[in-house]
Amino acid sequence: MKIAITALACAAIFTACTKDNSGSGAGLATMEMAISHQASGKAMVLNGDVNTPNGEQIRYTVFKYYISNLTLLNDRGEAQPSAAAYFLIDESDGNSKILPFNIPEGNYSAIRFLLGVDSARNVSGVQEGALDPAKGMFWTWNTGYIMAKMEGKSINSPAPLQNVTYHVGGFKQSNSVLKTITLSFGRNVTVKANQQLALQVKGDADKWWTGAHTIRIANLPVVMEAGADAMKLADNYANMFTLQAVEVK
Amino acid sequence: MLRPANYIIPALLLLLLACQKQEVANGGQPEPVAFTVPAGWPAPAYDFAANPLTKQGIALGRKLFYDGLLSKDGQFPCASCHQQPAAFGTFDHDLSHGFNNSHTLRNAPPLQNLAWHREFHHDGGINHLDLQPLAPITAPNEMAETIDNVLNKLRNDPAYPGLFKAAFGSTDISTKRMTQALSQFMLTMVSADSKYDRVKRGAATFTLPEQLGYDIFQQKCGSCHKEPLFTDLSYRNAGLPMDNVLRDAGRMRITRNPADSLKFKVPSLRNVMVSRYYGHDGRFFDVLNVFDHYQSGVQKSGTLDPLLQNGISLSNFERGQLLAFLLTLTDDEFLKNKSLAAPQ
Ligand code: HEC
Ligand code: HEC
Repeated sequence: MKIAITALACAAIFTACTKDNSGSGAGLATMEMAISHQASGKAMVLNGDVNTPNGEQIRYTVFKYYISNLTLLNDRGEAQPSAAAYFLIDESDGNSKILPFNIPEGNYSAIRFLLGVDSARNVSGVQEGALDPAKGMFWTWNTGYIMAKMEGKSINSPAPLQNVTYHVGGFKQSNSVLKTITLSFGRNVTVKANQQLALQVKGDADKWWTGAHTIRIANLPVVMEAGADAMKLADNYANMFTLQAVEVK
Repeated sequence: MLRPANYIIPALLLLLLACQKQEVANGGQPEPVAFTVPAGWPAPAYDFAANPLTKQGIALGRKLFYDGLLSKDGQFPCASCHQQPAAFGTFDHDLSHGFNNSHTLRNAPPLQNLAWHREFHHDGGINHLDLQPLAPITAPNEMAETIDNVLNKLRNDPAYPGLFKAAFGSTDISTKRMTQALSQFMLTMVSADSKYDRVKRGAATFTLPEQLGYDIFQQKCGSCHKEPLFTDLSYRNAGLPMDNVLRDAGRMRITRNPADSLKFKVPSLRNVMVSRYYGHDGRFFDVLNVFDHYQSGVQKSGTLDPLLQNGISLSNFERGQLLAFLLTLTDDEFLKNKSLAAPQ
């Protein structure tokens, strides 16, 4: 009897400890979003030479950005809450490009996320994990996250060392580069308990250079603060994602 | 033979410990320290619930504040620029010295009553006290380090892991913990015991010149240097012409809004008599130079504060009385408080 009670107490402590928030427990599925980057119509290779769509040469060295506030939309267009998590996608780190989640079973028709870090996290002190300022995606003298970073070298760059440096940020209404991206599945996808919803997403670096604004390295080699130029880059890169495949496994 | 209860209970305890890791320090909890708001002061802006003050947290922050390990060559702890006898400004310097014979762009402001500030730096570019240390640590003309390097130095130090455990419950050393500990120490830099404060509490009385100076102050200075902090924490253009070398546009650097050109955070005048030089770039050697500025040096421009359109006339008589009053803002308890000095 004594042992039984102790065992129960142990179990209770364990559950208290794990802080599991799966809710009812029934109907849990998983989701995985895998991102692959492209440049010049091919898989992106850091430190390889390519051309921008505007015909300027570039050798990408850094390609990173934040994704947050991921939400799945169901067949009635309503948002299904998902883990409040922040991801730093980094071309040089393969693991960073695969985003895993738990999701409730259900019918889904689209995924929505924020490209960047929501303003709340820009105004509440030092954050942890992917948002740790030590990750170098943070402006220390004018508080705010660098939402996206593209760096490289280009013979077309008039900047010292032929650098191309785009640090794109700004979370206040007047200078916001935050972009909400919605990728539609084009159909309703049913995900049952224990199944995995697998999404393959392409992120195309070419899109940074064209679209709403034509960005030429020769004219704009460096953007390192929030403001009009950062907003232009963000207008463009907001279109870099396309959904390539949706699968239920 | 062991009876089940004899090992189940220790096992249970272990589990509990694993669970509560956060709270357990040195066999006890970090001891909470209350933050006292002086009578008549507004509510602090700092969110103490997100970073509760503890004895161990403050002690850790104090050690960090005085430790050169946070800088690249060991020479530039926070305290090298923020010196207690100067109310944690840089004693007798216009600009402060940083790594490799460099200078800061601006005068190091005194650090006091930071719990009431929402934004930091002369231009308010930093929106949280916890984020503040990251700026000097990574600035090439200040401590010239990287955050990762500093964290690694702390992790490899014989003393710090234990101190982080005492303050935060485990030996993990992270950006957040380091900066929160620094905040805890800086939040204890409260200056509220000057003669002025004692007069307000009814524990002292002004001399006649001090009282006359206070009257002048309330009339001519108090709307910007607002009591009890002696700053209203707003950004204003006090008519200092732009320095041609530093080319510092102040608040506009942060907002990019031309309406903010040449605006700077109104500095507190607490302990002003010990914290020279004055002005955001330390261009004034003496308070008398500041008086001269208000009297005849105010430069007109589109963003000049409306209150200063005609400067501020100050007769010699008034200057003497103002000085007498400003001296009552010197808080010896604060300037000599041993618990704010370098740890032994
Ligand atoms: C090389 C000199 C130097 C060092 C070292 C230094 N500071 Fe400063 N500090 C300054 C200067 C200069 C400013 C004003 C900067 C500005 O307005 O742009 C400042 C501003 C501040 C402020 C803002 C005060 C206010 O009223 O807005 C705080 C807080 C602060 N420093 C804390 C620290 C801490 C903590 C450290 C150590 C991690 C540190 N400082 C290291 C020179 C220094
Ligand atoms: C319109 C608002 C305003 C009024 C009125 C005003 N000040 Fe100031 N004061 C400021 C601002 C803003 C600064 C910072 C200027 C800068 O650094 O560019 C300042 C700076 C100072 C400083 C330098 C402090 C330091 O630590 O650098 C002193 C001293 C000072 N004021 C005293 C006075 C006195 C005395 C009066 C009244 C005779 C007065 N001020 C009236 C806004 C004001």
